Amino acid sequence: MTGRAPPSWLGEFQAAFGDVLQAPLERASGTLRARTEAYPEALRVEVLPGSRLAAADRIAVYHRQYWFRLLTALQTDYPLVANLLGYWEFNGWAARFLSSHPPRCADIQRAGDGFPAFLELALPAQVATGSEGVRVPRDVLLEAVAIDAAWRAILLAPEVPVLDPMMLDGPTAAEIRLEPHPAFAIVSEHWPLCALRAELVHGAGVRSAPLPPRRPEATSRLLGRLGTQLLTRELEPLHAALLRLLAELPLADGLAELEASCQEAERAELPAKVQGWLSESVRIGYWRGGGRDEG
Amino acid sequence: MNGAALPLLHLERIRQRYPIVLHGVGLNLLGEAPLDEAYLDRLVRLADAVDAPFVTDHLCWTGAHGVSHHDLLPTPYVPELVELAAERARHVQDRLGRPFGLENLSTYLEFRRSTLTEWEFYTSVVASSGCWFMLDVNNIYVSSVNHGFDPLAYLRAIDFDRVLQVHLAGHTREPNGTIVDTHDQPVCAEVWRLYADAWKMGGPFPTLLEWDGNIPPLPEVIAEVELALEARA
Repeated sequence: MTGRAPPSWLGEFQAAFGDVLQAPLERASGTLRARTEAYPEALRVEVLPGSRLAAADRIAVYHRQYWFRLLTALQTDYPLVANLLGYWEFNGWAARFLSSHPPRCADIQRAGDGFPAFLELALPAQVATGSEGVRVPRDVLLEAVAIDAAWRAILLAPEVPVLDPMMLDGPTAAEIRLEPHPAFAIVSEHWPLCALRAELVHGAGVRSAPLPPRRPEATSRLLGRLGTQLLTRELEPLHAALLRLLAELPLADGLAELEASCQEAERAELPAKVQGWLSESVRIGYWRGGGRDEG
Repeated sequence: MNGAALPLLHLERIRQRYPIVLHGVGLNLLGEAPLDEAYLDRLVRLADAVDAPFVTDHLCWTGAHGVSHHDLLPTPYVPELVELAAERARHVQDRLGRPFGLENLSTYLEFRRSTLTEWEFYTSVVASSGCWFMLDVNNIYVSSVNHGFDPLAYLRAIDFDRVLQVHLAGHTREPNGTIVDTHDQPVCAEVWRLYADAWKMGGPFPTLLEWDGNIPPLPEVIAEVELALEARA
C-alpha cells in the first residue's frame, strides 16, 4: 500500500472535470456537440487558453473523447442493436444508459453491463431508427440485444472446468442438476438476427437488406466457444427444450418433463435423440463442472 | 485481466513464439483515490502468467470518485504530484517484481496551476520512483504542437539509459488545428524525424509501432516498420 495522501485540490479538480466529461453531448443540432458554455467557471479558470483554442474548447476535446470512446464500445458490444436502430438513434439510447450507469470498472468492456436490462425497461413498443419514418418493433430489439448480450457473455466467459462425464453414470445421476458453461448460450429468434450479426461482425459491417417478416415460431440457436473457435448452430425445438430443462431441473425430472411435453409421434424416437444430444452436450463442454450438485 | 478465457488462450499461443510485454491504460496512477490493489493483483497475476519482461502504463489519471473515464487525463505539473506519482509507481514496480515504465501523454490542455514543464514533471517522477521511461515520440510531437514547445528540448531531458521502449503512432489533425492522438493514421514525417533524433541521442531502444484503428493490411504495417529501421540509419 502507498501512504501519501493526494492534495485536497486534486479530488476537487477531478470531481469537476469528471462532471464535465459525464455531461451528455447535445444532440439538438444534429451532431454531437459539447456544450462548452455550460462548463463551470471554476474549472475553466484552471485551464490556460491555447494559441488555437479557448480554455473551454480545450476541455471539450476530452469531453468528446469520453463520449465517443464509450459509444464506440457499446456499438462494438451490441452491433445488432446499433445496426437495427442506426448509429444516431443507438447513440441516443446508449448515452441515456451511460448517463444513468456511468462506467465504474477500469475494463471498458464492462461499460455495457446492464444495457439489455436498461433497454427492456426503457424501449417503447415501436422505436424510431435513423431512417426517416422507419420504426422498429421493441420485440425485434429485445431479441437482438439478447443475442448481442449472449455473444458478449461468451467472449467474456472465464475459464471454468467442464462437467466430468462420469458424473452422469453414477448412482445419483438422476438427481444431478446441471449448469451451462458460461462459454455457451441458447438464444431464440423470430427474425434471422444471428445471421445478420455474423454479417455485421465478419462481413460487410452494414445491413444489406431489410429484415423479413416475423416468423410465427422461434428458432433456437446454440452459441458458444470451443477453444478459440466460435460456434453457432440451429437446435431442434426438443433439443433446445432439453438443454433448457436440464439447466432448471434435476436430470430425471428434466427428462420426464421433456417426454411429457412432446408429441406422440416424437416420443418413440425421443430416447435415442436425447441420448445423442446429451452425449454431444457433454462432449463439447456445454455443462460446467463443479456445478450445483456435482459434488 | 478481466479473467476472460479467450484472450488468455490467444496470449498463450502468442507467448509460445514471442515474448509479451504488458501495456496498460487503467492504473490511474494520479487519481484522487488510492491505487486499486485488486486491479494491481490482477495485473501482477497476468504479468506472471505471460512472464512479461516489463510492464508499462501512463503517467495520468483515468477516473475519480468511483467513475472510470476510460481516457488518459493530465494533471497539473506540480512538485507535490511528483512525489505522489513516484511513491505509487515505486509501489507498482515493487508489486510487479519487474521493471515498470511510465508513458508520457498526448495532451490537449495546460493548467494554470502547473509550475513544471511536462518533461520536468515526467523525468522527476521517473527519477524519484526508480521506475523507467516508456517514451512515446508521437505523444511528444502531439503535445509540442498543441502547446507550442520544442520537442527536442523534451528529448534532451530524457535519460535514455532508463528507456524501456519507444512508441510510434499516427495522429489526426482536427479542423481547429488541434492534433489528437488517434493511432489510426501512418506515422507522419515530423514524428519520423523526431524518432531519428531520439535514436541519435539515446539509441538503441526497442520500438513499438501502434495501430488501434483503420489498421492497414500487414504488408503496409511491415513497410512502416521498415521506415523505423531507415530512420535509425
